Amino acid sequence: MSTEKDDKWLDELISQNIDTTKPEFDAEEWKTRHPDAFQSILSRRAKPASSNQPDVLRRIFAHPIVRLAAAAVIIVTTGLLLTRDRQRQIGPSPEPRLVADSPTRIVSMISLRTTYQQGGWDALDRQFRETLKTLGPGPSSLTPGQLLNGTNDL
Amino acid sequence: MVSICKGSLTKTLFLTLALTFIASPVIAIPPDPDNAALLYYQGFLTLAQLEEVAWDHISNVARGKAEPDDKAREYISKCAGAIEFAEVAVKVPKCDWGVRYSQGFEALMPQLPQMRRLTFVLMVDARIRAADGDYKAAIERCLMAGTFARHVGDDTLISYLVSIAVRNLEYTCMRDIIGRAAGDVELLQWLKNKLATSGTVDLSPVRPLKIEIEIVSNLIRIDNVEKFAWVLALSDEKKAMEIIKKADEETLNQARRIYSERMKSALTILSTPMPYEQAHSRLKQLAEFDQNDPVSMAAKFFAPALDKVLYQMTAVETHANAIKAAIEILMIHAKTGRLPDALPSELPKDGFSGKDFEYEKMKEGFVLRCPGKDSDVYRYEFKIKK
Repeated sequence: MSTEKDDKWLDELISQNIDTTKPEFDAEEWKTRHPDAFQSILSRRAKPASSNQPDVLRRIFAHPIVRLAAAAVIIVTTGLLLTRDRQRQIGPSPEPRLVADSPTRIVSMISLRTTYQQGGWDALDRQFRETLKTLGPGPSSLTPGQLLNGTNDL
Repeated sequence: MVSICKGSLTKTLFLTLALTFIASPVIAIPPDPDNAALLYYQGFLTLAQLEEVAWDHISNVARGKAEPDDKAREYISKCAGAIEFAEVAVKVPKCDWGVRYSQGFEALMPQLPQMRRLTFVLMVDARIRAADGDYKAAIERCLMAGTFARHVGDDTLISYLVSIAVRNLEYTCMRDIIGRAAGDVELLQWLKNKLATSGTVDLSPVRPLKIEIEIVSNLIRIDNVEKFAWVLALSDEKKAMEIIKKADEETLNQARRIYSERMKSALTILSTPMPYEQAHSRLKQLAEFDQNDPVSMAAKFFAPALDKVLYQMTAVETHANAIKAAIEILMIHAKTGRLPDALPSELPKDGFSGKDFEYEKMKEGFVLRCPGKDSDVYRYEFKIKK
């Protein structure tokens, strides 16, 4: 399987599962919703910058090696942030959320315990039956051939 | 020249020895698992893939509500692999299911429903063996379920309850089989000895309760307020947010104090020998909380229904005692050819009242009953094969 094909499959999967539309920032709305933050930004902007600072920076960045290093740092940081962002989008959400959304929560200690508190052993037994319907292991009847099918693509 | 020869001879000898050591089959083959749980997990994976109707049938046969017919035989033959794994597992002393205690109340225990299913399979197999007239093999299967129950263990309160359920199924099955083997004194004596060595009270709710107390005590803290709210709200995001907003260090400390006090008292009750009724009423009292006080209600949420647990614990002990008492009665029957008119003295007693079982001869056998209890739950019937 080609890398391009792989990416296409991944992109499709991502677009099916997450909102990929470009987020639009409404500055006016943000200003009305967060007046304090807006004022704080304005006041920061109004503060006069130190007169020495631009000069020092200009002198430092005048050197070509420093410029090159800064460019490398920016590229690497941007790359890292983008990768992290992408991982965050397709990776698992924070732990409690994952457990709550997962069907496996039916067999968590708290879920089983609460069921027993509320309905006794019969309720717990019903929950066990439900679990067996929902979760695995689904005993597999795969032949070794079927099991190994597709490994040539690896 | 001699020293050169000596040197090469030493090298050759060393190489030969090293090769022998490396190629030794004893070293090459790793040992089988020394953790029974690993074998049971493989057993769960090899349980047959059956329709829901088939599992219902298996469950009914296991409980003695249906006869082990051809269908049951077919289903069980498909689960032969799982039975084989269980046979090996019960011989391994150590059993660690690998519960992730670090996850607290969110720890998952997907093995518990599978344990229940494996027990049904073992019990149907026992009933098939009994139907074929091999009573000893059938009882051996029941005893195997007993060891499995011990392996199910008391990692958590729910595991403990499952182990009790496995034991109850074992005793129900055994009860039906020993009546059929009523004439076989040797077999009855063998079973009597086996039951004397395999105690029923080797598991207790005290250990899992101690673990739970630690989990809850860590949870009801301001540092863990999000987790606490998440558990208390049963993963309802809105409710959890409300709890987080309202909770503060003082209320959490108060809730933790109420919970700890109650649980310490519960531990004392469960660890101190006392009549069932007394222990039950004291545990029930401990389960009463001020319904108008949200702090008390938060503590109540984490306090387990220990009166119910005590009931299950006493019921399974009583069931075991009924079997032991019945074996004595059946041995008299096997030796004299008739059932005794009254209950022999010094027999194991009813765990609820601490008194002797009520004994009644029936047309097809006899019944042992817990004194003062009318429900069929407290009635143990033993049918004797003519």
